[in-house]
Amino acid sequence: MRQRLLVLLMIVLNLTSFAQSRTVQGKVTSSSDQQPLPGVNVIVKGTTQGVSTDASGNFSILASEKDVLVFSFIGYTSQEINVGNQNVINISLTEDVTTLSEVMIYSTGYEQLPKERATGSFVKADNELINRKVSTNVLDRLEDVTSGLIFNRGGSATDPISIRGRSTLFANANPLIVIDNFPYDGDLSNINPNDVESITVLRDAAAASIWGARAGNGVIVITMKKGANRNAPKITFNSNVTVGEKIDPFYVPLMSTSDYIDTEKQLFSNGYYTSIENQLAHRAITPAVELLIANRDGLLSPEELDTKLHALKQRDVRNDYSKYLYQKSVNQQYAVNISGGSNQQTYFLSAGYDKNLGNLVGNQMDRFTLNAKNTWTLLRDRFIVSGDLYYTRTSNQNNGIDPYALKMTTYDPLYPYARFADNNGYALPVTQDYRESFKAQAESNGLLDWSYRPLQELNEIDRTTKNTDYRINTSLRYQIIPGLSADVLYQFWNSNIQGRNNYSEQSYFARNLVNQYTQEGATGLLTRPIPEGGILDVNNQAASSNNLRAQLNFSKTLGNHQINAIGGYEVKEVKTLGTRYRYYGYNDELANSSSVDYTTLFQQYYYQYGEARIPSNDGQFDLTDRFLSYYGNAAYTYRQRYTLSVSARKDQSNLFGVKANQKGVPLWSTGVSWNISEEPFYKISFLPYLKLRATYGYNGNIDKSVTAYTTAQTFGTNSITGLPYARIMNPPNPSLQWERIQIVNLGLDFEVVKNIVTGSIEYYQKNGSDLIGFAPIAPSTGLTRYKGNTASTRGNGFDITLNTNNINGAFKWQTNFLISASKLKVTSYKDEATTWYLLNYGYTGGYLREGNTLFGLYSYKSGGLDPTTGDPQGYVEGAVSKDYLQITQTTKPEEIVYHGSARPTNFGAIRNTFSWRNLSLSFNISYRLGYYFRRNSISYSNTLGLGGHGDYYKRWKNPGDEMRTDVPSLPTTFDANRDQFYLFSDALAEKGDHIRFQDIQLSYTLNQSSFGKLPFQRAQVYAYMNNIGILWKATDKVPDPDYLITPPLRTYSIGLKVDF
Amino acid sequence: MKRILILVLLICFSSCSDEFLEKKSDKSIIIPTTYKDLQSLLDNNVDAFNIDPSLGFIGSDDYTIEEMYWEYLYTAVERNGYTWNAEIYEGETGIDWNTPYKQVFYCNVILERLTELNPSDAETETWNTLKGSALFFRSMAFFNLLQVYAVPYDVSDLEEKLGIPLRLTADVNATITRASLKESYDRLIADLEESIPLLPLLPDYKTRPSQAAAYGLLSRVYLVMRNYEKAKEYSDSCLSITGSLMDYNSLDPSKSRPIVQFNDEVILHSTQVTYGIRTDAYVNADIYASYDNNDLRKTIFVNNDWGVPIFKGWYTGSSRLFSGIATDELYLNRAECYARMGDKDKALDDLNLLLRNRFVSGTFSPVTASSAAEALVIILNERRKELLFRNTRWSDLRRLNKETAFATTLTRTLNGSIYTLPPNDPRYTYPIPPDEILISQIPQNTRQE
Repeated sequence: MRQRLLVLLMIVLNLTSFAQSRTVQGKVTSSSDQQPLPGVNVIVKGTTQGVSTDASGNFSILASEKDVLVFSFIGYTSQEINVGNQNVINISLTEDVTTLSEVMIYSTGYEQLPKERATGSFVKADNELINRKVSTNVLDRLEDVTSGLIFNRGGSATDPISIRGRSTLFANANPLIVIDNFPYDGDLSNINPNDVESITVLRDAAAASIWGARAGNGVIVITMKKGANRNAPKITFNSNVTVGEKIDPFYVPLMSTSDYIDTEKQLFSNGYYTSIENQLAHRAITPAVELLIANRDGLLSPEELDTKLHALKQRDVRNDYSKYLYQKSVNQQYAVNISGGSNQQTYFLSAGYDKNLGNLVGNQMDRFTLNAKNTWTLLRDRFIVSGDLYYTRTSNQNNGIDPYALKMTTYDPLYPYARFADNNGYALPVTQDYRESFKAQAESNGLLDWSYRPLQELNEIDRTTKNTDYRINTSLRYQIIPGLSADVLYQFWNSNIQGRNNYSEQSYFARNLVNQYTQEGATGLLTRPIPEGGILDVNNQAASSNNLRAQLNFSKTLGNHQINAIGGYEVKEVKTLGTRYRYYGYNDELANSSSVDYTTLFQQYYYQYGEARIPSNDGQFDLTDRFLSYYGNAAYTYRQRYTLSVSARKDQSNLFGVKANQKGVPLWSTGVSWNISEEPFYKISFLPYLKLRATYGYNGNIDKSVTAYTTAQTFGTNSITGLPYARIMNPPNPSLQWERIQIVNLGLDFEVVKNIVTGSIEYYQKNGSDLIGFAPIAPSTGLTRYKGNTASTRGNGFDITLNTNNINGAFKWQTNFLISASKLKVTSYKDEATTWYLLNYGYTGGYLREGNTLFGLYSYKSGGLDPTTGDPQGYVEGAVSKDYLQITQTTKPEEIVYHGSARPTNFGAIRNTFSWRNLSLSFNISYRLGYYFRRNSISYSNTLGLGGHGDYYKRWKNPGDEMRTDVPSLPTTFDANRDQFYLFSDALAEKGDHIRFQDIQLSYTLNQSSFGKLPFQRAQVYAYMNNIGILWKATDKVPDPDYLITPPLRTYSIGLKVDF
Repeated sequence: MKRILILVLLICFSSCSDEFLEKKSDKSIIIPTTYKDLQSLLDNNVDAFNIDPSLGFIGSDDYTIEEMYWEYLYTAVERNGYTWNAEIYEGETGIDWNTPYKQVFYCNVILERLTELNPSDAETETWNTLKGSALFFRSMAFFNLLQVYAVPYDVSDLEEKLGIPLRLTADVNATITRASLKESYDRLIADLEESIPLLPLLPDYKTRPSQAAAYGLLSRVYLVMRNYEKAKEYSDSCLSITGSLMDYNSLDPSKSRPIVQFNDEVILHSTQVTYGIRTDAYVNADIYASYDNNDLRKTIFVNNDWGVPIFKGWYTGSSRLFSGIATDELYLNRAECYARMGDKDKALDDLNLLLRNRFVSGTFSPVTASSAAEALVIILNERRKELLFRNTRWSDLRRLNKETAFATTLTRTLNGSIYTLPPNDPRYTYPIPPDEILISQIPQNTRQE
């Protein structure tokens, strides 16, 4: 079929060469910036013959000597050129000042699409917008400037970005990132934002379905900078520094140290510590309780006890966090590039260096990027070859200690009166894992120093990850005949990640492991199965991908008819190989280590009944993803008014089933657009531009956790025969296929006269079907639950973009509104989650209920506090109850409160830009509405709320308090279900709605044109401040609904950008 | 030129695409492909194979349970099963249904993979054994399901009566409804017969199928079908491979579990799904009373130290109920067949051979009978005493109820109520678990007339 089409195509095209004309070639550029103009109509005047320029602005047309060529393009003044004896006509079009509309070119990764011909939903962030923010990561720059796109915060979001909501349950939920025409499989932090020219976001089926089974979450196409034809070398230098605030350790209120110690005293007198004291595993006990024990045992007088406890009460470890563990972040960025070109060749070279000091002392990142891009135009512009190398080397040091990870033992938090350093800054030990008395005894028996000094660990542990990432792109474009060209693109990507966690001999991590496994013989002789020395964990990952694409491009204008089509074939393989291993007794200076016995069970020094094998950290994985794809895209435009577009793609993959690969239907889309304002009858003068768009089609998504094949896991030996045995993990599912997301998109683009208002309004429906989900299955299949194409969702929403020119003179004021709404309902999901799972994980999307949204916040219905006891009250079968066991065990999923979405359903941003002469100021105000979150509160547990949340102070104490507080009283007896009920009751569910003053940017630009003699063409000094603060929020219970644990950190940047 | 090149490129890619796409995406997960992988699936006796339904035991008259224990039984299936309620699940899942079907699924995965493998000469034996084993286990699962969820076999209306869903593909999306009783039995018999030449005479491990096990199972199948000639023929074939019996005089009755796992009589080791009821049960008092004082089974099978007969004659070596195949059952099968075929002497020869190994040395005097019919009564009686707590009783009740002479009404007393199960009652067929009915829409069994 494909061959026949191709032959047909060739015949048709060859017919045209019988006409008695010669080929005239050329290139159309924009007069303002010399950038090539794709999509320019080139017509032989008085005929219906015509072509349009390709992505590089090139055209080729048959014309005779007397012909006149007409070059026209929306937004530019048309030009007529007599052919005469010219074979090459290079012209530049000047922008049409009367129609001020911008020429927007969207990049889909397969073609450059002028906005005029687009039927689908595209959003573009141009270079100016990308550079408004200061960041190390390129994606951060999309926040609040691209409508429909939201950065997910809070919860346990594994999908940092959603485009028009989420349309999958458990599969990959991240948008596809395309760089240099190919999907990027590496870490996006490898891309230097200074090398990025523009970013296009593909939101609907017509825009994205060219990416087929990977387009379901939307596509972000990153276009990198490149050189320009006939340009003198241009050098750009950019540098900035960003300083971020320190984390405030007092952000979440907690029980005070004084009350902590008083509670410990209370627990001690209740006998709470007796069992811990008697534990054979020597579980650590806090210093205050140790003092109480010493006092009880007569080793400490009551006066001494009081003095010592009083001293402890004066401390707060959070001051030490601030002093020793947190720091102000400092990010430095330097980037330089040089670009230019001649008629035959263009080049772009860039280098960038970033150095970031993190928020935690000991965390830092270095990134070095290098980019070299060359394009040669040969054979009289018929052959274009380009080569590109992008190299990144990053080094991440993660040596910081996160206070939230500090614990005294697995069961006990770090006590708030811990002290990290003495007055001279010398590292002090804190109680860790085992009782100090046990450790002292062990040390006297010859074991290694067993004390834990957090500040010492900072220096003794080195966790460094180095990543070398490079991409090589080559592309060939050959113009077969005018209007038809062939592309072959190849990309090789390689990434090498080397992680090294080096725990020195002096680190607690190493000393503790050595001690745990130390064996004490009858005579007190010590042997060490884990040798004395450091421990080194090595974690290596190598990934590479090969991408090859062959594509035919066709573009032809015949009078009022314009056809643009592409078709191609793509093959891709990604291999990821990982290994992980551990060396014991490692000596970093000699790089030697010792082997250990991983099989024997060793008695644990700290616990006479405990036996364990030496932990091995070894493992490996080997993954291969392969794709074969066929795609095509065609658009037909009549009189520049009506456009019909179709797009289809068929993907085959080693993840899919045989059926999906062989018989699967392609994912397709179609769209129409209508430039109403071009119609002769159109008379609305205040709206010089009006365009309607409608699209329909499907995008797909892949879940790599399921495969079409039977998979099994093997186990060592079974207890009956001692033979190895295997268990089937995944049933064969030959009909497994990609998830399908059906999208309907309706759009309206408009422009009010003199550009007072421009914008677009889009409404969409997004329905997921064949979504991978769990479902109960007939047990006669051999399974009772399985994961397959079983679920479906229904979503809809709108995106409005409005740009207004409020004042347009010497002083300019522009406002950009981004208004989005996105709703989602799970319409079919049979594996209903139980109450407990909905309460605990509903908001993460991990557990769901048919009929509700994917990220639902659920709570127990609260009946207020009991006025006599302050106990929280719930409901059992409609009646107020304090039977917490009954409430927590028998409340059915349909009986709990469903608040709504835990993710914003309405969101957007408003950006105001003021400029006066060379000064420009812009600020962004963002909002998020229509969602809920659960705040934290006091859990009394069996420890009277020891060290708990600061709501402890708001608790019910006396009758009448129930009028002013929701926080239950201190319970008289321990009841875990009481805590469970309260923590998941609707008393703690809050509306997340808020408006945030996100950022502000100020810049001052010096131009050669306005200032005359300057050693450079243009220089800009800029300042930027991010995370300024909350302007309004619905809840008064927390400072920031999106940041419950640590505050968003305000950052201040200043930078300089010079063009030479 | 370029065009041709592209064309060649395209054609080349399309033709090798199948191979290209067969690459496994994650190496850490095994896709069962090698003979070793398939064998390790068959050796999963942790949660797949060598586990059979226990509902037959629960409904049988091998035991009784006291009220105080009955009340605290963990599952509704046990409580309701004991009193032969029409509905037994109360929303619980049916492990007696799910477990055999899990085996069917594993077997189908193995059988489907085997068709893709072309064994070399050296591999043929392995290939055969794997195929034979999968066929055997699938047939055994079908047979076990039929004993619990399909009406007792009767030559009349075989094609109208409902059997079980005969799932012969591993594709979980395939919809399969209930086959007829005839199709169900035909299929499992054909598969068992096919398995025989593929299997070794005796296995390396008693958890694995063998020719002896296949013959033994066929003997059991035909007995249930009341085809005594065939049942006798297959008992012969089985016993000619292994006919060893344990002399109970060599066992130590003082032990808590006098009989060991994989003992000489065991041909195929298999246990029943574990319900708590098995350890709370008392041995049927009539059976206990029927043991002669010189009959070692009285002390080997039963612990009466606390004045109540508690079972301890597990052929599993653990406190799990045995449901596998053993030689003692085969001797009893053959003895019964001889008696029914009129050969009194041969019938008694088999019986006496078995009983000689069960009595205190020197005390045994061979059983005699005046007629084959009398011998049959004796043999059926001895069958109850020998195959106690072995899961054969339920099938025996179902088939013997077809004969007026041997039909029995079962009764239980609990909380002052008397529950009865008359012969040929529809409750001799258990209801299919509700989740199965709900999802696959197959017809449910009628439990009430």
